[in-house]
Amino acid sequence: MTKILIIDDETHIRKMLKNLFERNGYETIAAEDGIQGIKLFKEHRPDLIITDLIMPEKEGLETIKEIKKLNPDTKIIAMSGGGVVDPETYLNIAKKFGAQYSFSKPIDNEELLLAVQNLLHS
Amino acid sequence: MYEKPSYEKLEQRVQELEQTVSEFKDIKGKLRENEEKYRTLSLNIPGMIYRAMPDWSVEIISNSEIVCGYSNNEFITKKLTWLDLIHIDDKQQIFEEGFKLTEKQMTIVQKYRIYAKDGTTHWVSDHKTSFFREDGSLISIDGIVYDITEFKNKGDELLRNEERFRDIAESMADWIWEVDNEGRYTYCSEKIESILGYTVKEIIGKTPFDFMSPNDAEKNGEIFGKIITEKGIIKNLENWNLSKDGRDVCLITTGVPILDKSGDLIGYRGVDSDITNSKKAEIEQKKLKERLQQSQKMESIGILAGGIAHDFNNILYPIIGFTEMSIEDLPKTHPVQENLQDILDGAKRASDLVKQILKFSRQEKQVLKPIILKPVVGEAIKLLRSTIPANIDIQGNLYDEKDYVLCDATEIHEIVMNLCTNAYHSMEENGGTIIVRLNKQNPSPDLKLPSGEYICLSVSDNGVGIPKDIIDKIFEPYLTTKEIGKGSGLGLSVVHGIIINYKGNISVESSPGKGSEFNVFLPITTQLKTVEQQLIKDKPLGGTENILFVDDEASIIKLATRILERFGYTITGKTSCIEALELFTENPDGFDLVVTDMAMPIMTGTEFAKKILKIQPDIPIIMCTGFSEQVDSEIAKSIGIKEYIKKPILIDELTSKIREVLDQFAKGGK
Repeated sequence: MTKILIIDDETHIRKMLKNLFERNGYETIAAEDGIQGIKLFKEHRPDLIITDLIMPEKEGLETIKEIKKLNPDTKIIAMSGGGVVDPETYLNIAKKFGAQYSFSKPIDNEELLLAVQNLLHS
Repeated sequence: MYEKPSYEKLEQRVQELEQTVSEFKDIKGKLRENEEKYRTLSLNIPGMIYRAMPDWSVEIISNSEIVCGYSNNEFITKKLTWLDLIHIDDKQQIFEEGFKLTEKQMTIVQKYRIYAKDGTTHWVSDHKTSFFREDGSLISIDGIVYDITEFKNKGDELLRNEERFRDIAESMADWIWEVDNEGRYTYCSEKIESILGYTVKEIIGKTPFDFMSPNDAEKNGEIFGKIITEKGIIKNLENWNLSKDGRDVCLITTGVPILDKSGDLIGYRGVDSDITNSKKAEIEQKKLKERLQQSQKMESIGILAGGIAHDFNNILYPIIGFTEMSIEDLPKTHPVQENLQDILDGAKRASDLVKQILKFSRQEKQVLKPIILKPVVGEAIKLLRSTIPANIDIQGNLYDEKDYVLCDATEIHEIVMNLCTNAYHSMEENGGTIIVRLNKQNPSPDLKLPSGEYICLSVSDNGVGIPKDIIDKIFEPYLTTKEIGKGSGLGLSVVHGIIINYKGNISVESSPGKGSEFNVFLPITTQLKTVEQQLIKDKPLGGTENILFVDDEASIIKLATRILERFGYTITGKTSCIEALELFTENPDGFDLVVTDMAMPIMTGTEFAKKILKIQPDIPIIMCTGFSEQVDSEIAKSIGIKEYIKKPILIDELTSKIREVLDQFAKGGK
């Protein structure tokens, strides 16, 4: 079964994404920050990672960089709720670091699922 | 024959002679008396009396010592003459003028200098009169000379002082004045003309309050009144005056009381300085400070908004996500569906709001677009209807023409909301009707707009109206007639700023108690095509072309459709290449571009492309390939495929390649 790793410091978002992916036939694992995310990545080798960017401990950009170092072919979707800096700026940097897709929160469920499918089918 | 006189006759003669001698003696005595009287008189006169004879010899009669230090005797013995004493520089003038006296009887007064015995120079005033006989010959010139040295010196000093003070008064940048005890100008320096434009003549007799604005006259009248009662000093009293040519002039007045010997106030004198420029600079600086504070406030709001946006989006995301899933889970007819839909709508509105706050706080560079105003204005009216109380009616009268205005829809929305909210506040107590009109109308020449066609957006109400004294200032920031907490006073200044940015203008008419009407004039854009082209150029990734998208994976078609439709394209997606081919054969001119997957069942992308090109050789094709199906770009080009995209399809790559290909290989193009 296709395994998706969710990294987000917001409990509700993790819970919601877990629910969304599982009802669409994916297996999920979730981490609340980058450190835990990398640990789970090493342990489970998921097929795809969806990660928040602004997080405590280890933030998203750093996490993406590290994961790409571990496996350059990892499929990554970045998401951000914005902040002092334009969310677009963060998301563009995330793309440069190797995230194939990036979304501004809140993300339309269907659009996110389509992106996941597109990435997994390629 | 001579007859010898008789004794009686002789005696009578003697008696007559004795009588004559006696009378002569009397006359002589009287003459002596008179001479004594005049001598005494002349000695008592504080001046030198003299007589000049026709041969210019001068007989000093009295008091020469008082005037020049020489005794009368020194003149009598002819040791010196009066002419010797006259100052060398004055001599010629004295002669010339004196000569006139020899021509006819006349009196002249000459002022000149003489050398006194002690070596000093004295100023004298010489009053002289010429006397003539009946036959016209000159008898003498009689005169009296006074020493006026002291008077002359004092006079010179006074003159010098006057000149000094006049020079100071006229060369000062300030204006010196004096008023009587009724406050009427009795003196003012000529500088007034360059300050207030009035001549000295026009000022004298007026009071300072005649030139002040009514408010200032009242305010300063009270202050001045208090100062007068205390006979106090006027110290730095600021007052705004209206110059003759209508300029506002700010003066700062300083003055001291003038008291008579008994200590009663008889007036004031002082100085007025023109501080208009520094006052205006001060006002400007205050405005700048306020603007700076405002921008600092905006900056803080920006930082705050960024933080809030992050948290809000994180809160909203699960709400939206879970709600969407719940909607999906429940049967469509379930009674909770409507509630869920409301939650979803609300959360999405909140999400839009966060985006707007972020956009506002970042002051993003604005791109104006040609827009038909009716739908935007209509939407704002609809929104207002649901928010304003029932006792206020809002009516829209919007014309239907398809005229475009170069603007930002959000800002137009803001203008309507702002003007209507003000109208609503003005009718809050008694209710009334707000009428919003939209029509084509020429602006009044007062608005000084360039010629052309304009759309007029008008908002009128029958509320309390705008007080006359502030109507000229309503578009200035921070002016508000509302209670604290009801309005910042920024609204109309923002509206004004937006309109000016659109190269339009706004006018207002208002009668207190009857209502107000705001008219916003916005230029109709005549270069719609140029604007559209410009917009396309600014956003190279978008377009309006028709694209046929073929991929056996439905999710990819769905994703691509969503993305590309957001960029303005019309997408026809097909999972079957057979169906796609049929569609294309039916309508080969219906598409501007074909995007196809490489690995498809039944027919490969290459085969599909070849068939398409057979029908329509000009059509540009983009091929999408996975990692495993490396298609050499040379091969792709040899069969007529213009570009290829590696999977997974990434938004940026997809949109930019599509635009690139469309621009280069558009039908009928290169």
